[in-house]
Amino acid sequence: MKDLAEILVYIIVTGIFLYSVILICFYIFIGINSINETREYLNKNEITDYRLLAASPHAPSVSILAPAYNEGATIVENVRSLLSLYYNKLELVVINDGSKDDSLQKLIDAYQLEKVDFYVNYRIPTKEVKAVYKTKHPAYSKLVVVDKVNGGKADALNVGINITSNDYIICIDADCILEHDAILKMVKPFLEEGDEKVIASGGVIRIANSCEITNGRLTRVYLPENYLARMQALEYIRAFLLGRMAWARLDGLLLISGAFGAFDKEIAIRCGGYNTNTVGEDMELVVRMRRYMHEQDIPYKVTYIPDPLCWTEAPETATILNRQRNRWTRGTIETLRFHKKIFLNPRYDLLGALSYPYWLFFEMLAPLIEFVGFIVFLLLAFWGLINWHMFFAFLLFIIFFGYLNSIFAIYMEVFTYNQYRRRKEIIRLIWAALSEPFFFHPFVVWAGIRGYFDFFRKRKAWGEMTRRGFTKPKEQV
Amino acid sequence: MTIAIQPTTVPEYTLYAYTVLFAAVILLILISTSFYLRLRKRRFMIEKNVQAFFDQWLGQMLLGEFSEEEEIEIPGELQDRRKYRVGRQYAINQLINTKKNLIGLASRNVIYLYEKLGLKKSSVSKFHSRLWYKKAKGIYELYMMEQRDLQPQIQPYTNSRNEYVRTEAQTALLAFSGFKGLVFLGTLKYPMNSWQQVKLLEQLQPLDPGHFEALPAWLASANDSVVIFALKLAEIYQQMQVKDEAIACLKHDNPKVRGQAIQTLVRIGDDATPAVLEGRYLWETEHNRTLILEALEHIANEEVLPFLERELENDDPAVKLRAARAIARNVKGGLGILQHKAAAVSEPYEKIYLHIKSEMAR
Repeated sequence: MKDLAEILVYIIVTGIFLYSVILICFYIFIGINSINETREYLNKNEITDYRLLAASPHAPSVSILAPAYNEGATIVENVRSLLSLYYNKLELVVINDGSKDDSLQKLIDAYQLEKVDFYVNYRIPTKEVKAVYKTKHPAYSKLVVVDKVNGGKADALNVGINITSNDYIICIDADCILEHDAILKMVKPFLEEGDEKVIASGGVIRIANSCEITNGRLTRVYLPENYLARMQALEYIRAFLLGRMAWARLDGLLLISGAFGAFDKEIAIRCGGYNTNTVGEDMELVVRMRRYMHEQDIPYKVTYIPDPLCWTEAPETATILNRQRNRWTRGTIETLRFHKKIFLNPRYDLLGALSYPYWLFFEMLAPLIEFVGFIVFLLLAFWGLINWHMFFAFLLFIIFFGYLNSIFAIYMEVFTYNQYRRRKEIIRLIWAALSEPFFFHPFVVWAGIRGYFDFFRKRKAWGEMTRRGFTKPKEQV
Repeated sequence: MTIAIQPTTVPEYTLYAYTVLFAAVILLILISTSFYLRLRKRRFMIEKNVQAFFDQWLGQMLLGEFSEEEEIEIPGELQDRRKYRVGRQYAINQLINTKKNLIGLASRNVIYLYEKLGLKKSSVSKFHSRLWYKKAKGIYELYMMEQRDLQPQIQPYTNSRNEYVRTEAQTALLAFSGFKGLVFLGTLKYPMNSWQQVKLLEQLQPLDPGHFEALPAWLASANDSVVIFALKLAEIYQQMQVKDEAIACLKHDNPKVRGQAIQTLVRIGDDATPAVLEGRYLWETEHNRTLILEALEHIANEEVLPFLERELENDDPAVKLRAARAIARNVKGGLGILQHKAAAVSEPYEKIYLHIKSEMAR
């Protein structure tokens, strides 16, 4: 019995050790690929004049799909901001997903909307569309507002896909702030497609907390004052500038954030649109589209833009952040479960051999493995089986590697887009990185574990995401 | 147990050694970050100084107070020395941005200033670089500053293996020679993606249309992207004389070429074109069928009415809607036909009828 326990402990400890070694190798691999991809992107686009696309009649037609649920407080301003984006062949579709507040009425009043007869082609099955509104006001001619029965974000986006007649769709959160040239930069990869069809393109999301917003435009960037938001700013830099750029280089991206992503509409429809049975509909759609292209044997790629194009408000309280991470964990589990066929399946090339296993072991299982590791550590400590010299050596090794990863991400940010221009902000970002293993990281792991509990309890809710609203300049306040 | 790597096999001191290594790398990155921030600040100061000179010069340029005889004192920050390259690059970028927004004398003054400041040397040196992105940038600067004497050297790069160098060289040719610069289409070995085509079309857009003698040859090119581009030229500049070649492209092997031919024929076709498109409908891909129906929304006639009425019965609601739109917009009494259909079969034709009616009223 004692032997069995020893073997078990040995397997767990060795397993966790091997897991750490592989993870570190992955991080190094990601870092190297990210440098190369970012450098190449910057070199390629240094002399690009995006303005020529804005008014060109040869540019592809694009529809922005913005689902809105109880966004009455900000919807009019957000739509105004989206209507001011530079792009001629643009349509803005706002989908009111059965809001209980006065969102729809506010839009009708602000943009002089009128109900129009509209034949909805339910190519993707959705909840019923109650009405479609358009305006005769020439300044708002790009706006279409759809009122529908509540069905969740995925269902609202599917309605948007059914309604629009344009070639490409850009799905965003209605409360996001886009840079004025965001559409131009997102569309370019689709125009650059060669033998491989570009099916989707992702953009970088940045944290807008504490930033100054004037008339729906980001006017000054500041590092968030709130600790949790600041940590997320660091986390987003790491995820978007390192992780996703590296996966884009390998053409192994599995996730394009739901807050800002562009898709080839026809492929999205052929794949059945967004899945309404998951809370991770953004990741699920990308995986399904990739899987579809593989199964149809059509060469394709998913691209990524490192420019900061979309700004969003990050949760500032532990409760809301916990709900968000809980949902992300459930979304990842659901997506990987739906598409388990891909795992190590040679038919899916890199997708099956590398992307899926990485997401399974180092994204989905990470909180679980860390949590189990912690429990094992407590048990071993209780039984006096810990070699403390070795333990501290390992702990320092892991913590310092984590620091290295974060500091490198900060360096990449400074070297590329340098959004936080004050030296003080860089120092605060470094302090945030140093505190991460002791405060933020354990919190995120715990939120992930709760996500597992909720997944097994078959909880499907998104959880309410209360927002504080953006910072206005003093004179506006 | 045969696993080679296990915690107990890694000596403690090895882990500490790696930790120290990580700490050293972190320190190095932090020093680099600090150094880079300092460098950026210095660059900002240089750019600010250069900008001060520019503000003065630009004012003179806009007022037309600049003359070619006038000698300009070159400030220290713009001297042709390695340590001033940041200032020189900033100056080039500023001149290009300024020139994009100017025409006539003011635009010529920008070029004059560029030459007087000896910035051409910097662009030429980039053009001669072995790094593709520097070469592409050099070509860009040279054509933006209308340095036509470099055309013979740039021209061979229209067939460069690197697509960015190639695109800039092709754009340069159009910038230097207008429509005559399209001569590279005759020898192009590599494909042109849609972005490159948009860039070239936008470069041509402000120019007076030239002659298109080579258009039939381009439409018969072995390079599919050249055929697509030529079809776009025929469409935009309404080159009716290549209608037959465009119709021939409807039978091209590449569906993208066929798709562009359908779009082009909307602009250069005649009364027989709707029937020609109808004839191709059955043989086309789903995407190109959509393009045919979209084309017929603009050019359908009585001759294709039976076909459109047949498509009105199609199982796909999107096809029904497009066919209905083509009937309503082009056939005499088309809306009445739809109304009659709606009265006979209310679902879904009533909704389609109301949709089209509402669309036409707007």
